[in-house]
Amino acid sequence: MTNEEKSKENSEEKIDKTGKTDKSEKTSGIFAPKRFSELGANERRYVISAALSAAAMVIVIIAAYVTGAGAGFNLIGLASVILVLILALIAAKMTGKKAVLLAGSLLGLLMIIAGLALTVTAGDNFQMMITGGFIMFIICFAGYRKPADREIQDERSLKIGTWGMAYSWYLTYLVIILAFWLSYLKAVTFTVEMITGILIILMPVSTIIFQKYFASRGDVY
Amino acid sequence: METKIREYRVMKNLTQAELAEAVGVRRETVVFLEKGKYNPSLKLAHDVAKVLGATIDELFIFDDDE
Repeated sequence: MTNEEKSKENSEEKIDKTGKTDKSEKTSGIFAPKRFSELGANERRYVISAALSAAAMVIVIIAAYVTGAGAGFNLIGLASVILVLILALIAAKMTGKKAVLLAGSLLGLLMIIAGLALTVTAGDNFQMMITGGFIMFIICFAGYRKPADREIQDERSLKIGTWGMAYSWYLTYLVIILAFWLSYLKAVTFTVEMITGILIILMPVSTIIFQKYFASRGDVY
Repeated sequence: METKIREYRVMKNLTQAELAEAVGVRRETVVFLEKGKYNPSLKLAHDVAKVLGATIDELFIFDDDE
């Protein structure tokens, strides 16, 4: 059964089984509440991204308070700004519009160049700008280069995507363990910015590499 | 695993893109299915067999020694 036939059958089933029109149709509109299952694929991604971002903020704030890192209201404000920027980047990627993605890629590239130039000339470390620019470039450029049929998410692409992320997570975990012991044994001195910067770059890059490897093989096993 | 998907697809005069669209997958998935490098789910195997007018056993040949 093709996807079109499936969606047609589903809509017909709703009418047949209930004998009346779906309530959501009567109250449809921009502000009409929808169940998660009724959302489209992109809308679900927005919701999941927003929910996970909120969870990430809660975890970081709790960790800051528990570890006595001196968290205050400025932490909540700053974390909110960062998360809004991340969600804006995700939303820009999900528009799928080439112009938006190209602009995002160029902005990311400019941030990398500016960060490097400022580090050399000003003598300060603009690692945050370089890392942020790198992430923005990777996400927007990957979206810009996606061929048209890549919009379809089939069982193979979902399987490869999931396994790629799982391997990336495992690799990142091993890196964290190694970095911890090297730092604990004083073989190397890592700052928090260095570790988090490494992880911010390592996770998406390794995910992409693993996914490309599995995609070229055909299957994950 | 070997497959006879390509033979049946050619008999039905379908391109890889057309077969992919008919079963709701990407074209590259069909490519790897034909090469025998991707293990499809039962549902996908059934959908492909249905479109090509064959049975799953006719399309997918497993080597029992594997």
